[in-house]
Amino acid sequence: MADVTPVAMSRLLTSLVGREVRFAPVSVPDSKTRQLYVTYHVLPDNEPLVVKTDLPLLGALGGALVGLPFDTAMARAEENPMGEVIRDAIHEVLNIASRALSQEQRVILKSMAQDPVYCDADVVRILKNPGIKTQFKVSVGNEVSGLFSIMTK
Amino acid sequence: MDILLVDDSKTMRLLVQRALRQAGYRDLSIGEAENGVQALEKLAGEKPKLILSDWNMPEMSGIDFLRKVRSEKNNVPFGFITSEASVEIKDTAIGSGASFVITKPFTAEDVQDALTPILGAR
Repeated sequence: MADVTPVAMSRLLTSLVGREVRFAPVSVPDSKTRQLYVTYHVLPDNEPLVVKTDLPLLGALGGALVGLPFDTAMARAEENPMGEVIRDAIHEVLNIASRALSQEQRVILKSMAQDPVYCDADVVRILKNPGIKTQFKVSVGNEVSGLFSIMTK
Repeated sequence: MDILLVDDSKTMRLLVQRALRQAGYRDLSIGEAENGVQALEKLAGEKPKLILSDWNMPEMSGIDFLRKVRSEKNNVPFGFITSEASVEIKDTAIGSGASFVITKPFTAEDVQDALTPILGAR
């Protein structure tokens, strides 16, 4: 299920945001940066696929999509509540990223949350004890980097 | 209204409008809707030259919207702009009466290539 490749993700997001995006596999402790918890469903069985990623990284990607400077976009992403423009841009980045999350199956974005308390119970179980976890360090240009983890049961 | 643009993402509606301008379609008026239900309401009083729609939307999906439009004997040209990239999705879209499917992310050239047979070159 978690057959994502760094090359596919890098190409897709580079094409989307117009800046060089690089996914590199890593195995490091989770970041202490504020996180975004994203739930996808893998069809046809609606199996959850969970992405846990650094919020500033997503802010930078969303900002690049709509033409916001990185600093502005990252700051807006960390506002509480998040502004509509940056939230919508991040949502669209995650929606289009679904294309590269599986080479074989159709993946649909279901929700994103800034706190796991807003995630479904099965998603929380995966976050606590993932069966498969694939972790990437993602860089956007030479200016921004962050962690992006993909988990399934 | 020349083009009815249907997408629940405000960001994507802005990006599609930007691509339309870059593709040379600056003279066309564009109406917007957030889902199929809103789009059907707009179609009650308008006859656009083209509908551009997302696939996955709340309230009414793009494919259900297309099927509803065709069930009302409305033959307006209809194209999808979607992150759905599978052959099955494209076959379903074309089989239901869509003229084309543009896959996100897209370029102004992708938009121009799809729209030229319908709206003419710019």
